[in-house]
Amino acid sequence: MIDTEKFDPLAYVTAVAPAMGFDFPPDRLAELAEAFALVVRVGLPALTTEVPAESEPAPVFVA
Amino acid sequence: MTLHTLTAVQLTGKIHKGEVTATEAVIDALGRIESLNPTVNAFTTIIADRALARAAEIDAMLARGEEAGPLAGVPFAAKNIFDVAGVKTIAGSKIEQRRSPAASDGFAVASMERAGAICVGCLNMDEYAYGFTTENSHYGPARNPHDLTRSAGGSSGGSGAAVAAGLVSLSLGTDTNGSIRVPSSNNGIWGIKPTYGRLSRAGGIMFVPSLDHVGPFARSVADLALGYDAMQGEDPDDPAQTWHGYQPVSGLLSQGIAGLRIARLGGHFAQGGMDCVQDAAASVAAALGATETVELNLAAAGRAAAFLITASEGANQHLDDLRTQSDNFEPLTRDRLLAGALLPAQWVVHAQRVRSHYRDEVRALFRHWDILIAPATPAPAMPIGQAMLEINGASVPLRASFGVYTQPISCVGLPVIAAPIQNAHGNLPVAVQLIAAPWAEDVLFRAAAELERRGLCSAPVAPAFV
Repeated sequence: MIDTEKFDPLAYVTAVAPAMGFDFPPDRLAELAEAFALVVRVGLPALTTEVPAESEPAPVFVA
Repeated sequence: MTLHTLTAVQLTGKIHKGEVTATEAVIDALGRIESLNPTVNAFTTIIADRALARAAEIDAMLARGEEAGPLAGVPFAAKNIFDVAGVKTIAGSKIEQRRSPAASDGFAVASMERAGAICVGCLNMDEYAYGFTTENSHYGPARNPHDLTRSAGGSSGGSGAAVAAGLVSLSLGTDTNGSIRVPSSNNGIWGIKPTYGRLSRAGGIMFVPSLDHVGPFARSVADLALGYDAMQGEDPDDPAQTWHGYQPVSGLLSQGIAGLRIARLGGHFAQGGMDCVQDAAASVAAALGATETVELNLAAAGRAAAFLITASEGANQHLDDLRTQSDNFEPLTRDRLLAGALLPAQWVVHAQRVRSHYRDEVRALFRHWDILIAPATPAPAMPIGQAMLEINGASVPLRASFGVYTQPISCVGLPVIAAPIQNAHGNLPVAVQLIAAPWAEDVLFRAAAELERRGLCSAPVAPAFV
């Protein structure tokens, strides 16, 4: 799901932010890249977990 | 007569007997709020006129011999994410000041008032509930009544501080990733995050709809039960509610724990916390006769999934404002929301599938156990302004890490009671999570009452505020 060796948060944020309608100067993009990198770092255990094919994304909690 | 140290049950008992009027109870609460709130900064709005008018109605009902409800005359307050008629619902933000005042109470507030409780104000919180510290630069930080230099936790920090300081005996909060359980731990009070879908969230501002819960805080288990019972009710306005019928717990508190299968969670939940929080979990386990330690597979992945889903779904609530007025967001919130807005869709869908897979692991474990025990927070309340948390020699970002033990539980909607232990680290309290299978809040209340009876868990008014 993610190659942490190749993933560059600043390059990603710089490329995607305008497409999502955000217009930030370079210094703000750098700050945003830091925030994005933190999300990736904390989210990594999920991104690196393999799931069975039958695991659906629907949030159903009923026991 | 000193009223602020009374529990809600004790106070309404005196009101029902005519020893105190509801008006006197509200005046007493308003006086304490006026004199002490500048110290703890728990309240952002005080609604004295409405509260006094409602108290007069309660007094008149009781004078006529009418039933005024199980919480008759008890002052309470609600996190400012809940609609309260006549008050702007701001969710800790500057941006939502653009709103008109709410036309009516949200479901939870209205339910408490139907039970006779009287809303006296609205409470401080992290902006849009995205935080664990209530260090809100718009309205100031909520301060911990046990140590005013420390955080009251978040995001329901004002709800925690108001109860611990004895400003009210009951408050309402929300919990998406730990926002009831973290303030319970920091402030040393009881809190319940019910099963996802149990209590209506309608009438307020959502944070992450697929993870949002509401629940009460209190200083006794009986009060917590009364608040929880009052908040129950079918509500077609909350599309996530799964109505299971009215299932009150107040009558179950004396049942004890005989027959309950209780274990302590190891693995993820035994790592990364200070010794005092692990000691607290161990003492609760011992008191409840839990001799086995079990592992919840994929807990770390579940926590990470919750983090990703929160970032993405939370950002989706505020996309327009992030594009047009990002400078008006709380700085601690803004960049987390912006990062969430940029997450690749495939990562978010994968996180949702991890949540689903993890849920199946949780279901399997609860075939063998009724209650699982884990710390609520990795540490007691931290100093306001502190950005990093030192745990076992490692330095981790505090604001992202304080939910390390709560997020794996709310990720799949399990019900939890946060049980407080005083003086766990010097004069600071911590809380321990009692976790059950979906819809089994009843066993949690039985265990919580047992811990209170044994004297291990309690939630008195913080010593400096008695």
